[in-house]
Amino acid sequence: MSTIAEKQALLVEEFEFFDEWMDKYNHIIEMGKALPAFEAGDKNEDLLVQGCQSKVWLKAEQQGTHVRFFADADAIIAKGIVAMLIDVFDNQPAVEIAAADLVFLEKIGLKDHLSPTRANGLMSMIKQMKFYALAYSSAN
Amino acid sequence: MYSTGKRERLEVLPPYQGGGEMIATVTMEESTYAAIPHKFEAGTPHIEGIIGFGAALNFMNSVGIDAIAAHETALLDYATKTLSSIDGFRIIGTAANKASVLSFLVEGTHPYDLGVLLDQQGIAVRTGQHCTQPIMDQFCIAGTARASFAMYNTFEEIDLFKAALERAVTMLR
Repeated sequence: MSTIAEKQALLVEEFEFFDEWMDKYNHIIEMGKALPAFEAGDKNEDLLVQGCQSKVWLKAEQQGTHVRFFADADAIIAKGIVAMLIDVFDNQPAVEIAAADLVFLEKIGLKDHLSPTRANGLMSMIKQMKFYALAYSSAN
Repeated sequence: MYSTGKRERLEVLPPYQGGGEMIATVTMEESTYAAIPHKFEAGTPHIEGIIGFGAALNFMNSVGIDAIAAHETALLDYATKTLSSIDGFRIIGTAANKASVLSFLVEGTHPYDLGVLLDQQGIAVRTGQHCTQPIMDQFCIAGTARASFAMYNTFEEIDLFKAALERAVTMLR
């Protein structure tokens, strides 16, 4: 099982294949398409991430000391972005998720590339994931 | 410029904001204010905006309102015809004599995603609800992408727009 740091390094390496942002976006879109869709009933208000321009639903489950994440979105780029976060955080120890520094976002250049509205949405997704992790780690 | 009203009322009304040009005398005991309208026009006026607006109006008059309207209509007609050949292309808002804007959706794609991928290719469109949530509800849609055509746009740019949109749609579907 790879650590959060190893997962981030792998993502950075993946994105280094692409010089053009259109190709990077294509990769983000493919990651979004690969993330399983929610059942219609799971797309409810309670799971909506606040602060995203598009609709992003995020679900978390505690499994022992670890956290599982599931997400869906109505726009595919937003879904691709949350898929990247899930790739890094899913099935990791809650304590480590809460403390993690997501350096890959800067290394890929995503943070600087997104429009302010989308960058805020990204921050909201991370905040929500860390919020779950923090709640689960203090429950242990 | 906003200080229109009855003279006797404006004269007794205190200034709502301090700044340059709105003052007459200042001592440690009291201040008196400039006469109307200056009392209500604190600070530097929007000089560059006024000059810029004047230049823009002169430019438009030199081209002619009718010529501008004809060009914008021709661009809109060309764009409507050209883009309608894209599979799943749907125009929201088809009133006769509408302004030269094209609000649209493409089946199987989200307008936010279209906006990002068009932006990456140098095409600027607006995405979202365009401050018209009730009408979006009436159409049962979450939003649209919207291209606007102005006097400085060209037919060639519409061809580029179409190619960029087709590429975006291929990536998204």
